[in-house]
Amino acid sequence: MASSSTSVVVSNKEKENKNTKKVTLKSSDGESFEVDESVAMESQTIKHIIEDGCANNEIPLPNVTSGILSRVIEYCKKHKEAAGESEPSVTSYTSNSTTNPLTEWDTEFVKVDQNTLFDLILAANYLDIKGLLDLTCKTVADMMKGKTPQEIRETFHIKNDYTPEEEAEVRKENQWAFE
Amino acid sequence: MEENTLDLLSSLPDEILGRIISFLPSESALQTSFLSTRWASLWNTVLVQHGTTEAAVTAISEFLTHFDELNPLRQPRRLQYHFGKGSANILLATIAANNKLHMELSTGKQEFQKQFDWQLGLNHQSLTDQPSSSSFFVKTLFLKSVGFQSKEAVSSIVSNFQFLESLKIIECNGLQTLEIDSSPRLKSLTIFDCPQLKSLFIRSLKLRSFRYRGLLPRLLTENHFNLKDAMLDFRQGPCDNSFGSNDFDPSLLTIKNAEILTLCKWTFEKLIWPSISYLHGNFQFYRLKELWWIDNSSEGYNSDALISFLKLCPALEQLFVTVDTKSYSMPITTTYSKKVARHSKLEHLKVVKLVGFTNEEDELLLAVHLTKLAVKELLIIATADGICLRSLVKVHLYQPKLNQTHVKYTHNYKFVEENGDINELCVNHAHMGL
Repeated sequence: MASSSTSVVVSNKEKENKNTKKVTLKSSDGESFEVDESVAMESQTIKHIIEDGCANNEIPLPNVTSGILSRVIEYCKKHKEAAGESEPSVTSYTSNSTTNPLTEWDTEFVKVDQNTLFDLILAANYLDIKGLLDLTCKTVADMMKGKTPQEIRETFHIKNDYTPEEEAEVRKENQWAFE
Repeated sequence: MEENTLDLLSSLPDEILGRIISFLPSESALQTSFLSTRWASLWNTVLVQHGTTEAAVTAISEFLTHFDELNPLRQPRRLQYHFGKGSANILLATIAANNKLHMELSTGKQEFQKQFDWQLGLNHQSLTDQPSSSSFFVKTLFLKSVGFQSKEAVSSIVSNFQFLESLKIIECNGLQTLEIDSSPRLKSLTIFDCPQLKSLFIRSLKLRSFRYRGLLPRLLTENHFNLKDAMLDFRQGPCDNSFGSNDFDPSLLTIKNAEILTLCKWTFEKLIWPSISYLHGNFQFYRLKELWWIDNSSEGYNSDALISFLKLCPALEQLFVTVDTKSYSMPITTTYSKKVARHSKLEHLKVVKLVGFTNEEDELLLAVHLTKLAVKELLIIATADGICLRSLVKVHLYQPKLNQTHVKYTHNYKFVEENGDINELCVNHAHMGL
């Protein structure tokens, strides 16, 4: 607001001119999203497309719907900001969560229904965004932890198609690991 | 909001499910194999490597070193190492919770396994004397299908496992003689189904559990140890008929203080009774609580051997008798002294389970005899197929028995089909089902 801060903003922009380059991502249902190139490059898939020069500034993503794509972009933006560098951020889930300020945000981010969660997993896999893939997979794992197989089946509507003989066979094969 | 009843999780690709499972602790990961047939092998992501026989030791060491329980994106739990001529030999190593390692060998082709001798040393310091930097210490080891081509590699690998507490060797075709030289840490040894094994030499100091299934080999022990748990499933018979009760004596001393025991009738008749019969019941199995007696079926069930043995077990609480028609039986009949031993009543016997009797009359006779021997109220369960359970009940008769001459015990007992709480009755001996 004050004139001094405006000048600061301007000079920053001059320094990081190359980062204002934008790309357009097009979802499967035809919606276009304009994002900073650096944010888009959180996705290794998109990064390779851009680096190979095949971008033409509009990248079609036929495997991702607009709803999911907007969330993915939100994730990438947030993580890029937090990293504060021009390199793609590396989110490590081995670090202690209390030292990682993004953890709370991430936890809120994955509070979605199963449909959306699995779509996010598939999108993160397709777009090759390691941090998002680990976050979503770990979320599913946390939903499974500490539950019996029957409880897990109920949570995810998995049908038990084992015959009693097959189940006994699996139990026998893996018996050594249970002992 | 529409309720989602579709199984979207299982429709995710294998690599993703594998990644999800890798975030689970070992026990939970293993449990996923039961979710549905789709999930059967996902918990076991495999790392495939090829190499030389000599390099196998290093490969396994590295595999174990890199395995880190705490790291969510840890290395695969399974290593498939191809080695030997034409990479035909495959060593499959799998890690499971509680420091367990399972190693299974296969040679690809179904070749006749050459006979070999094996000396397994678990006591030796590694020659290079490098302290192990691995955070993964193998405490329980399963070795399956080790053959003459792979035994050297396996020996080298195993000699590094200084913290081994439990060793299980199964289905090693061609294994002729086995010598196990172990540290005092080894507490449990199990050997199952090695069909050519003729001689077993155990040099262990503190073994507490020994389980064996197969033909009886020549058993040799260097030191004495007191077994708490002994499974001597020699129902296939002896390997060597000249192995007699004198040879078995050292082994007999190791099982004398066992609390849990599996014993075949023929073993008792041929190898134990001749050594102790002159003691007139002064040789006792003082601590034996749980006994599984494997009987052979011959015409007219004879319970003399069993009863003689029971008289040596004052502390017995649970008795399981299985009649196995395929079990080896002694050609000679031994006579047992009818003299009553010091402890002729079984004061602690609570449960008896009879399995596989083909003749109901014999079953009933034995059940009644046991009831007379017991002091407490006995629960006797009988089953022929393991599914239909019958329990013994007293029947009150109001009419006197007409013909008393051929009946030793008055038949005021019978077996009735049990439809009640099956769980209560489904007791099994600790060694059953292994």
